[in-house]
Amino acid sequence: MNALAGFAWLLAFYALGEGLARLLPGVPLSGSLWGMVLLYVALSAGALDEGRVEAAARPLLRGLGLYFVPVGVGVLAFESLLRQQAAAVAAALLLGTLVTLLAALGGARWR
Amino acid sequence: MALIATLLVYLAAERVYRFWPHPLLNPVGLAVLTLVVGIKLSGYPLERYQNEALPLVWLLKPAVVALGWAAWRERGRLAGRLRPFLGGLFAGSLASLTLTPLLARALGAGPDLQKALALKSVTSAVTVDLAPRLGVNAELAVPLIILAGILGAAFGPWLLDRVGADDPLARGTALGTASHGIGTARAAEEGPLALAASGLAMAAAGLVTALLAPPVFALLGLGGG
Repeated sequence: MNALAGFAWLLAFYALGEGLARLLPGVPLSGSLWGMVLLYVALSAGALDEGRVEAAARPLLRGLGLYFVPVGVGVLAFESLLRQQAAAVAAALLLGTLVTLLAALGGARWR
Repeated sequence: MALIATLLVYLAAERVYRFWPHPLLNPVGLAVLTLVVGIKLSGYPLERYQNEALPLVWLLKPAVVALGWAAWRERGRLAGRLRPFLGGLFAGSLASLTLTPLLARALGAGPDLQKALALKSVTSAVTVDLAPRLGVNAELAVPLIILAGILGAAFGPWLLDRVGADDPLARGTALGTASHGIGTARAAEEGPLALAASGLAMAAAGLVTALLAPPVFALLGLGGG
């Protein structure tokens, strides 16, 4: 029952986020990202007790990797595009990832 | 059928990873690869698979909201170290968002791929949500994101060692900013501070990229978002 109530809270914050996204179309955040921010703020402000969401959030996040597997499988539709540009994609991914790591490391020198 | 198959393949892939935790055997990557091969061999229509598996994808919405809870839990660990965390987060996110598509362009990749690659450091959970708003194909971006995660987890710690990075907060921030969930799983092996920094960076990088992508895409001539 606790997990269900927690899930209802998460959905409530998602719905709030959707509403806010519609109210503020100038801010490029989706309903779920707004929901994430609102949940963080509500917990920080003490407006929501952590225990109310934890019972749902923990098992839900445990399966996070599963939920976007079907989206990844959709890559099949782009098979020929990726085949044509495989070398460029591979090089951009590897170099881009290493550059991102170094940039983040450089930025983390801010004291 | 598609739903059960996806669930079973994913659980099996997790088992493989638990037995042999190598970044190349990342469960999400392994599951996607297995299902792609399975669909090709069986001739199961892709569209039907995607429709049947849609309920799983919908769970991403409350799951992204739940990341706010996860970030809130870890907030205390960064006490007094907010500046290096934010510096790493913004520098890394901006570098990924601008330099990756430029690299891809220089190498001859078309605009669709440039845009998908620009999101390579955003966690897939957020990308599925974000992509349509930015005119990016989520189906194209997600596999690239998984690969960027695998590359970062496989070579990241090695690169960070080479440049002498020994601060767990900086290492975690870099891994989470560049390689989202897969980098965070790797950061977990480096200790609790690296794990917290990486997990927070993963959630925050999605937020930062969502805000920065529209102007950056406009500047790069990629359709203005």
